[in-house]
Amino acid sequence: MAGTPSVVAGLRLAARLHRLVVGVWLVSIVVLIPAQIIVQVTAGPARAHLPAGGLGAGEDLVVFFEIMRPVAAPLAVALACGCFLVIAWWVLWHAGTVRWWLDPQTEAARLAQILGHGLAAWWRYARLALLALVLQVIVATAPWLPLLAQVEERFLLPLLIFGSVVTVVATVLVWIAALRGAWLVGEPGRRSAMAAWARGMAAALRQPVRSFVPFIFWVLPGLALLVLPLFYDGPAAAVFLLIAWLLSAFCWVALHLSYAPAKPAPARPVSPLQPPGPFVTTRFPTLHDNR
Amino acid sequence: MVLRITSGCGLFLAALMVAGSAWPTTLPADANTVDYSIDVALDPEAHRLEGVETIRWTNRTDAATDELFFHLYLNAFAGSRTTFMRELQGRSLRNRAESKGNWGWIRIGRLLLDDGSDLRPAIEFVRPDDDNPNDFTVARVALPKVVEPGGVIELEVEFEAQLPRIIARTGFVGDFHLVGQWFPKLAVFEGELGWNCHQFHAASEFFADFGSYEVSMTVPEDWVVGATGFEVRNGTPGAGQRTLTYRAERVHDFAWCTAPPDLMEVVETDFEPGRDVPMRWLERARTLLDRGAADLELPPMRLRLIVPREQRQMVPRMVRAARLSVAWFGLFYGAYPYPQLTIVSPPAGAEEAGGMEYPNFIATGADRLDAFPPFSWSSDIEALTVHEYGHQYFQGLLASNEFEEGWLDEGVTSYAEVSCMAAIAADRLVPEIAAFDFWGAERLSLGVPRLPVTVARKAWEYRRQQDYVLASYTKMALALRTVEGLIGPEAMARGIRTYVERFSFRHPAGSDLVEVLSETSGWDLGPFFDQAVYGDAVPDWSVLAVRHRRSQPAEGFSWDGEGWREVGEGESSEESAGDSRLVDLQLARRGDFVGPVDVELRWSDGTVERRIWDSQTRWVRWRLQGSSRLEQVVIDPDVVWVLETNRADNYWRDKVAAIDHPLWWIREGFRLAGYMFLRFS
Repeated sequence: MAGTPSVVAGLRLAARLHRLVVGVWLVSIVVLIPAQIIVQVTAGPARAHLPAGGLGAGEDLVVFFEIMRPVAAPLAVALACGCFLVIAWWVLWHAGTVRWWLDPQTEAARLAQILGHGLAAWWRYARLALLALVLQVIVATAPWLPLLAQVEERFLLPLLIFGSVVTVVATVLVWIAALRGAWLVGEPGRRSAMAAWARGMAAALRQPVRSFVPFIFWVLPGLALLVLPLFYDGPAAAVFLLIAWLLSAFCWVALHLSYAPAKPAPARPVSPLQPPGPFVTTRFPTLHDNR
Repeated sequence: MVLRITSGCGLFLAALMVAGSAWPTTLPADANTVDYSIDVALDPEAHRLEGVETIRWTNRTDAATDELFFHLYLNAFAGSRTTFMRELQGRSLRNRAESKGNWGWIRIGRLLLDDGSDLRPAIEFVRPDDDNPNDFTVARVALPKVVEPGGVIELEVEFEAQLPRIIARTGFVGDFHLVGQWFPKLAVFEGELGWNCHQFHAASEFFADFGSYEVSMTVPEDWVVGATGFEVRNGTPGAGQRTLTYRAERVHDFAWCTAPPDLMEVVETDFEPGRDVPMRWLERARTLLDRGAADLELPPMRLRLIVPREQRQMVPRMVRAARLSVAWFGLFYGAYPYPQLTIVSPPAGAEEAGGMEYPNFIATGADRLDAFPPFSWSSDIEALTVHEYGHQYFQGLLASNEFEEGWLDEGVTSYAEVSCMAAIAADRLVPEIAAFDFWGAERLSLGVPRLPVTVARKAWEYRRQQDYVLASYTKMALALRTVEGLIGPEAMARGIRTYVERFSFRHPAGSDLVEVLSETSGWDLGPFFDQAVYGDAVPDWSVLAVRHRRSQPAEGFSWDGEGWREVGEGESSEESAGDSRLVDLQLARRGDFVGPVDVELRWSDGTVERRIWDSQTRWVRWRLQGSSRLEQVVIDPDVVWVLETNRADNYWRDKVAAIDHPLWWIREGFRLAGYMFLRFS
């Protein structure tokens, strides 16, 4: 049941699931709170006394290193836990949206209902995410293995270009296949994450352009909105960051929903007088036929 | 194959031949203490050397001796229980493959005195540093006669040496051979103090007397050869072999390398001062050293690069790095007094040989990926070349005792290297490298250890190998940078220049450097070095407290010389009203390093005031009075004390900054990661 990926459909569905978008946004902030507290409590006071115009080149990193070193271990633990929570949460809402969408009986986009769906299928989706992560590591490593061997100088540049292109293309493919596979693994009776990913890959290769366009359309702004605000130091940086991350969350939800197939139509109510299907539709004579 | 970068190379070599006869006369006449004449043949299959050497030693001290001490340093690689291997603790120096099973050793087959007496039975191994019975790197030979002051003896030595698989400084990988520490070499006789001879350690290499070397190397016919000194004879090939003779004057060691031409190639080029000295550097040197252009004139010299074919793309960058190195050191520390420098970049697998210095001969290092971004943004090629070339001065010319004061040559070289790299970056002389604060990188490194590091230790007495590196390279370089900040760049430049001029072709000690810097700067730098180098004092200042209060009108009585009078009587209303603010500023010295430090005070009316605190006491309280508020206090605003790693508490400001960016630490973390990549890639 691989549908046709659509940016517009993703946009509409993400707008419809605005509560989920807010949830994704909130969790992305919440997971940083422990690390933020550690930093603010330990490094905040020292940083608050630094000169208004900033420090000279080199001095700023030395001071940063100095004030962060005592909290490096707890900060690393907090960040690792945050990463784990984010992955778990993303698996949850991906699973939830798939099962919510593919359930013909559900129409209302209730967050609790979506998450409830996701909880039931969490492990299946976690396996799919894990598979994609492992494949990501492989495709990011494998193209560079020839460099370990003695390569003639004239082949070095082509090899580097080849490696870069293959890494990028393979990464995109891995995640498109995972996104499409996520919708396939939600089908009734489908349980194998690996099979779903493979079918997702087949679907991606069958419709390369249609699969690729939503990916690029949502991933590039999603990443930009996530990272660039970190480097914006102008007025209202915090507000700018929060807005940008909200928009980024929208991009991620829309990315996932862009690969949604057509929603299955709800089954018509079955009359107790009718025998269970299969039904044969009989065409009744009309007045027109009587002429 | 020889790549020729300059078409005028042949002409240049001819000029050198002419100059070659003249340049040694500019060197001190008494520099030669020991002269070597060596014939050696390499068996490339067995990686074995067979050689005969003639040693002529002159006792230039005021004391007589009846013994000789030899370095047999290849024996450091003879087994797992040698002192070198124990100190290595199963690791390698450059994090590369170990030389498992391929041990190296050296054996003396014959040792004859000039009167024909056989000294071989008199050889005994001694272990002056650690009594390790498994170490055979130092041999003592009792002489049948006394060598009086001014006396000369001549020895003939036959030896056989097995090269190890490359480890740290010497050995082979495949057909690549870097032959260092390979021949029986005399230690240094220090008169009444006796012979100064140390075992071979993991963290030190040299201490030997200056002399002339004439070495004839027999290698496979078409193999590439690079060596200390310069080639004087290229023998006629025969039986698949040929013999090349190199000569070097006034050097204290001799190293060479050889490899087949399909693995390594030779790049002949030169340093031409008119072309290669950046004008800004020349101006800077003239200003700092206060010398005329004639004094700073540099001679041309020959550069010979031996590089793996796989690194051919990096050759222009290596050449540029070498030329910049020659220019920097020549301008600031004096002209290189030899006609040729050989630079070897080891091939893949032989990285252990890289980053090493021998007289007139340095081993650098590169990776073929360094030609491509983001690896090309790193300054490794330049920094390594500058550092190893720096050792041509600090250890090559100023032959300090690297075993006892390894920090002296490594530290001064690191200081010179980082200064040079900072200048290269500031002047954008190597556009490939990314903007990078080289001193900042050193400061970050010093911030890592949790225990204070003492610099002045014998090379094998550091707690860990990392401590040796941190102390001898990083901390010493930062100590000198701090001195530069304290005495000023002019005094520092003149001080180091004087140090080089005064102690070239001698064996300076750390105290000599301190003395010269104190003399040229007019500062007594003894206390500084006692704390920073000979001790482990940590500089650390902080702003303890700042309190504002409005001054109260004066009340009560005071004695005016004739009688008590009420305060305020006869004074103007402004004086008695006390219309000003009192600021109570408290500074603390948290570390145990005592030294003068600048304190900058910024007031709300825009005035900036500088004060100096000598920090003799643990804390100081300054009561300041003014009409405006104190807005900001910075201890050491010019970052003179780069040795200080706890600087966050050096800053205080009246209006505490609002949170500018909630996730500033993620952004700074990214920056730090990028910094680390450029530093360590």
